[in-house]
Amino acid sequence: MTEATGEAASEVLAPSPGKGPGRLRTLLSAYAPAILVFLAVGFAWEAAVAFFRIPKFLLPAPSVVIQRIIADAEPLAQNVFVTMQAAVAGLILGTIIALAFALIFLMSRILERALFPWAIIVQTVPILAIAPLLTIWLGFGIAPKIAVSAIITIFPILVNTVRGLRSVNRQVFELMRVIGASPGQTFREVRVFAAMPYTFAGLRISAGGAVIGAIVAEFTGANLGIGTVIVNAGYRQDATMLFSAIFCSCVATIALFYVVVALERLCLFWPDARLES
Amino acid sequence: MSAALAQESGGHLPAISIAGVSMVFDSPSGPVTALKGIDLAIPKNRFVSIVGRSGCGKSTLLRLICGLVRPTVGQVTVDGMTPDLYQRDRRFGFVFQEATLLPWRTALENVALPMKIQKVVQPARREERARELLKLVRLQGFEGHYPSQLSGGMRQRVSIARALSYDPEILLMDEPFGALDEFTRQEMNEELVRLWQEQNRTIVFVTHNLAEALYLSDIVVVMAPHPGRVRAVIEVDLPRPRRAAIRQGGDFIARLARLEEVISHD
Ligand SMILES: Nc1ncnc2c1ncn2[C@@H]1O[C@H](COP(=O)(O)OP(=O)(O)OP(=O)(O)O)[C@@H](O)[C@H]1O
Ligand SMILES: [Mg+2]
Repeated sequence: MTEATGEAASEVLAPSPGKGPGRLRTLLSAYAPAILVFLAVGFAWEAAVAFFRIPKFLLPAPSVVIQRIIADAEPLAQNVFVTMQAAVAGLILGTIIALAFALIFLMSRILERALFPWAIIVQTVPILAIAPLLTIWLGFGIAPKIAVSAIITIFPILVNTVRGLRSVNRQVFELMRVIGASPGQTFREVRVFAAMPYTFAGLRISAGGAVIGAIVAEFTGANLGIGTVIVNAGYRQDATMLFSAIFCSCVATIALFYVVVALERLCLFWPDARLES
Repeated sequence: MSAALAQESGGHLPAISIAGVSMVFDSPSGPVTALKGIDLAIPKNRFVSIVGRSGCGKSTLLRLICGLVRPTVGQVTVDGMTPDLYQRDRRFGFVFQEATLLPWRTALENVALPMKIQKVVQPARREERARELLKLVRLQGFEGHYPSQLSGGMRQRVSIARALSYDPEILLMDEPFGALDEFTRQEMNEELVRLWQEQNRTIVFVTHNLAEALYLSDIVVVMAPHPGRVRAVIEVDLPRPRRAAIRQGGDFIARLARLEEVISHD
């Protein structure tokens, strides 16, 4: 049987992601194109503003925006923090609701047929119209923001998780029956793991949505948050502040996305876990 | 022929007895008769192969034996009881055509899974036993590998170790080596005979490979399709231990030709 072992050895010993300088080079080659384009766009923008003498109230140069961000770092950070609190809370709440409904759908096809249209309604309802309603009902604090974030979050996670829970093939269930597993054991040993890659695929989509949800909720009335900064800057026609706010919320959203990715790395510990995207 | 088999088992209860079993599946295009009027007695501690064309109900027969499906008509008895009752405390070993390992479990954890599920072995002993079993199927050193890091043959060996982990008296194997190349398949055959001879076990082994069936078995059950039924039960009285070289012998080749004839006689 040693031959069979040898045949697999090449697979087994396939180069793992390198360490040291090799790894740095891989990272560089992975991110360099994106960084280069980013810098190029920045410089082109800067040059265009200078060359065409575009006034600051129309389109501020990146350098001006950066100066503004530095000058107003503290209030910007505070407001981003308030918004992200709501977004993260909404993402968590939405995930819990989505997982609960995924379980309900798994247990009962009838309930799935009865309730799935509601998931679609929630998904298709214009969020800009829902936000003021939620503000009326829940006040000007964090609650309506969390609610809007959660609403945006639910659908992608729900749909993906249901698919994941059902992605197990029949033979695995037969195996579990033959070895004497109870339905609960089969759920814990099989379904949970089968669903996880799908749930995370949904979470990746939802992470960005959660931040947008919180910002939109802030548009319709809130005391604090990057959404209020945007609205106020809009009233004052302060394009520089608008760009600063946009930049800050983008950075925060990307940070949240990578928190999700890090969590995914942690949870999807087996080699072929991640779904092709 | 089943009378001869009953005699063969020395008057004792056969390990598995199938009496007047028919199996009809409902399908979108109407009922499908997968098995019709099956009578079969499988004596204890024998190696029995089931061969036959695709679709003649071999997998269905195995699934009936271990109670995964219930016969439409007739009765399956395992060690004097219904498959469900047998399954309750003794459990069948089942090796599927595909290895059917859990991708999120290492080789070691996959082998230990039934022990964990059944809570029969002390947690500390489970790992030790799983290690022994992996060694038995010659996979020491691969305990920490995930299924996707193993070759097809290695995965199938893990699944065999898993089926043996709770020491079943009856081992059902559904084309376990179907996906393997000829070379690995022959190695696995040797391995399986060794495992079977080490301990008293009844093995029911489904295969498409007639040479494999002859080489391994005490008894070869030939099935015919449409509807699935037993065409012949053939005793293989080749002496044991059988060396791999007997496959090239004249006697073996003659038997193979006869077996082929029985199967193709439609
Ligand atoms: N769950 C099912 N529902 C409907 N029909 C089924 C089901 N299982 C098996 N059949 C039918 O029963 C017949 C026998 O199937 P089975 O899988 O037992 O054949 P087999 O001998 O194992 O074939 P193969 O060698 O290709 O694995 C086939 O015609 C198949 O279509
Ligand atoms: Mg089959």
